[in-house]
Amino acid sequence: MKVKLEKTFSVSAPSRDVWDFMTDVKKVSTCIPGAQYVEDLGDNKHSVLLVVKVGPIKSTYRGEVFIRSKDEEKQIIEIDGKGTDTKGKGGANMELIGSIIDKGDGSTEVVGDSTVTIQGMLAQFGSRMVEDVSNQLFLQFTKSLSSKLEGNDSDSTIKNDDENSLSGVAVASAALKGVSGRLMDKIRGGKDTE
Amino acid sequence: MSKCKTSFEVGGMGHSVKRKEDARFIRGQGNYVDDVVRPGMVFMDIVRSPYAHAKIKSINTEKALAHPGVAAVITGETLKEYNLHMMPTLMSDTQMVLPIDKVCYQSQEVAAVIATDRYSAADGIELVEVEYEPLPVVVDPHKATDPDAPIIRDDKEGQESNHIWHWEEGDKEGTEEVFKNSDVVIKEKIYIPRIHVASIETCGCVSEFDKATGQLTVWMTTQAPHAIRTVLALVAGHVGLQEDKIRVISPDIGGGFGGKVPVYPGYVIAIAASVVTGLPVKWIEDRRENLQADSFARDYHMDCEIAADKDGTLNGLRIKTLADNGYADAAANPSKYPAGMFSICTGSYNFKNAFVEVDGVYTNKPPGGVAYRCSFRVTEAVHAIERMVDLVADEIMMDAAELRMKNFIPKDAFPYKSPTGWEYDSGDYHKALKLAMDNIGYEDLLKEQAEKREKGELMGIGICSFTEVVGAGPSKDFDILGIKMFDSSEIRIHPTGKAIARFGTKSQGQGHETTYAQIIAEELGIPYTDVSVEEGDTDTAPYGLGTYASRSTPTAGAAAAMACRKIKEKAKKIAAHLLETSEEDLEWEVGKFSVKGVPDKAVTIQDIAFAAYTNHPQGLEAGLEATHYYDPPNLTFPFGSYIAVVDIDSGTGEVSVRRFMAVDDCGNIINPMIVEGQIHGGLTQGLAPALFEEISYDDEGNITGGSFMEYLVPTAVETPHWETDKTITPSPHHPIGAKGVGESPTVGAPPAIVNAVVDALSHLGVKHIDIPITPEKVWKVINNKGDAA
Repeated sequence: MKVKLEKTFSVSAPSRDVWDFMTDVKKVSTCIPGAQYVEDLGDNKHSVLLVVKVGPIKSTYRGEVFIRSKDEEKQIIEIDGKGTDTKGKGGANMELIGSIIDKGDGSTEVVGDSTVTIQGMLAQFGSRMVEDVSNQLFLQFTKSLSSKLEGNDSDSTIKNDDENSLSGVAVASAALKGVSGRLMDKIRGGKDTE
Repeated sequence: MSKCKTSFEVGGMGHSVKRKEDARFIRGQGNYVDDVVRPGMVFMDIVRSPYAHAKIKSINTEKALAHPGVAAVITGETLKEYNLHMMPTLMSDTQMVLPIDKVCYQSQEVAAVIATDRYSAADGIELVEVEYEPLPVVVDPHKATDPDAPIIRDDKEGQESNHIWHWEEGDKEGTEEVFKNSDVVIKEKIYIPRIHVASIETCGCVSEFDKATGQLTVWMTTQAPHAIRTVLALVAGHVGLQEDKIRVISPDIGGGFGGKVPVYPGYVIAIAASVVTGLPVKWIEDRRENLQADSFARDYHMDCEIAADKDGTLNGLRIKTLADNGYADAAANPSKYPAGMFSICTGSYNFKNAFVEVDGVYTNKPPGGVAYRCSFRVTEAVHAIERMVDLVADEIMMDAAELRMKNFIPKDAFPYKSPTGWEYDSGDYHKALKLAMDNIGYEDLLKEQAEKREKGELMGIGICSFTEVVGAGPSKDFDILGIKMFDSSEIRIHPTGKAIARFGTKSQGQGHETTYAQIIAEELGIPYTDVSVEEGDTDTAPYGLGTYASRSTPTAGAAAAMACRKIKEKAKKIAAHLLETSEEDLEWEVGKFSVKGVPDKAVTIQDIAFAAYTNHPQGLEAGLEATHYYDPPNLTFPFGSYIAVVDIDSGTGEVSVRRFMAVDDCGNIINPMIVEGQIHGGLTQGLAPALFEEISYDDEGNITGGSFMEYLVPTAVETPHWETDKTITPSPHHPIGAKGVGESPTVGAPPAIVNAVVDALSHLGVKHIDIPITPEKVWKVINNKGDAA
């Protein structure tokens, strides 16, 4: 299944700080439930590991995050992510364009446009849950991110243990950052199903 | 047939005797494949692909093999050692048993785990680690032949696109001419989606190989055990499996509907595993595997055109179809008919000309194209014609029943040669439709509909007057992998006058043990309760092509009658000997021969049977038995007229079928109760795709209808009360005048329901809605004021 996601959120921190944080895969991965930074592969590629649980399906994904382009001036970043289940039960790909917008009042708006493609078990059996999962994930991510950037991150680091993945419904890399588009399209009648 | 020739006790044709097989079924004492338990039996489970198209980079079996209970993991590489990694399909295509380097559909078999118990096998497949590299997928068949589409079957030499075959029938130029000279030409795109037979019993087998004797026994969910044995001997002869050493047993089968005709990779892997290990191996699919990987049905994209005159005369029909065959052409059609009997699409109407063409393409979906309770693509054909006829009626504002009556092939035109080459054996279409209309009160319904429309209520009436073509088939045209589509019956009368009859077919719930016995009762006068019927064991039953496409009565049923007639010939000689008279002086009435004019001087078939073993005439062989291989001279053409009445909830879009009148004509009837039961079941399986069922795929080839959460099978709650009736027009060429019936209702019900729904919405400008007609689709149509898109 292919899902388009458009998410916007605000952080009470200077845009420079947000940019620095958001372009650092290692830092960002600390905000994603179930994510574990593995290593810098060079050439803007990073290896990450994710524990994903959607309903009864729990999988470990081995992912690769590639920063395709980084425009310091316009504060636009393009990221490709891909993850495959270590047991071969499926995978997901993501193309993300993130913009950091200085609101001028000391706060920053983050706009993320992404397309996520899911294949395998998750797409088959998780479609009903994926929207809820992604929204929850997104909330946790922004909460964690905000508290880090706003300086009160004492208890904000998402623990990357098994317990957390069970409750936190961490989803494939940055890939599954809130999967809702197509499902909602269907419900709203935006997409012809015939 | 108005009157029965035999008493109820004898139970010949026309008697609604109770089904003999039900005694064990209702007690839960059937013997299905999963009931088979063999000493030392091990269990198999299958690792399946999450991707619709992907390279396999590696398969790591280490962890699985370390799991307690796991005995072996079989991969494509294992099978390749025996050259068993590929197998032929029934359409002479090839398909993978297990892949070596890539997978071509989601849920494809990737590896198999053999374990000492079912649970360890399931745990084992979780531990097999497969590394894939996803490839671009072909999901939409319309894009399958685009120049930039990836070639799915790059394993096949010379396969340079995803196009498989082109097939056409009829007169192209003649049809063009007819279209040019017609007042009205209507076009419509009609899609019959992919559905699944979803039989109660999933597929599976127990394979047992005796290393000492080289004997292979396979208990298998198959509708065609003999054909399977031959195919096994052909594909595995090189590893020592020769046909005399292979025994295929098809025990009780919990529904087949065409889904148990193909050979699935699971069977082959289990057989290979038992040959290699020398242990009995059991493999039984779960529901998801059954829905996701086994052969699908339908999936025809039809561009239909119909030409008519303003007065309602139907002139020409033209259909161009794209057949989505999935990764391999694994349909189960007769060899010469890649699109089955789709050319029956001129239906019950006297068209001047017709032309039909079908192109088959590969996509990244499971292979198949099985004839789901339909005689090879007849469901698709009937849907197309019955929708198009309604479109003409709508266009020229003529009543749909009147238009049909005007264009039916008249009763006296049979045998009728259709523009696409079929010779219809018999029919009386006017009578069937008239009866359906009278029974349901057609005129009153029209009035009610007009009144309801005034009040803004949505009610529709839909007709379908179908013609089926069943009983494949005559050997000059019909074969599967070269094996001619005759069928057989072997009957032995025991000294005490009881009998055993064996057949090349295989019941999957149709009631063969009763109906075949009734045919023998009719022919020989031996009570049906004295006739044991056996099928499904290749060691004992005579060779036949099995049960599907409503062929059992037209072929094996005919064979039974013919074998009985051979027995009767011999019985006559014995009777003459016993009565000390000549054969010419004898006459037959049910169950006995008597001397003409001296009715008291008679011998019963039981007396004759006893004499055949104790006092046979000198010069005549002892015993009383016969075998017949029946090669039908033609197919049979059952027909019927169905009328559906639907109400639609304009708030939710939900369709409810208020009434459904089904008038069927299957020629002479063997057991009216069984026929009625078949019709009830078939109608429900026709309601299912009309309103509920579809196996769909997203753009990445993920199955979105792969469990009963999404694949909605109707239950008693959704199923309306079926009203049935019949006309009887015997088949002139069948020995007992019978035609097939099991599939007529599945074929006829969907267009009747769709026609009713469209009729209910026609005042909003609705012309067509593709099945399944879900509440969502109807709701959209209502809210867009007739824009069906």
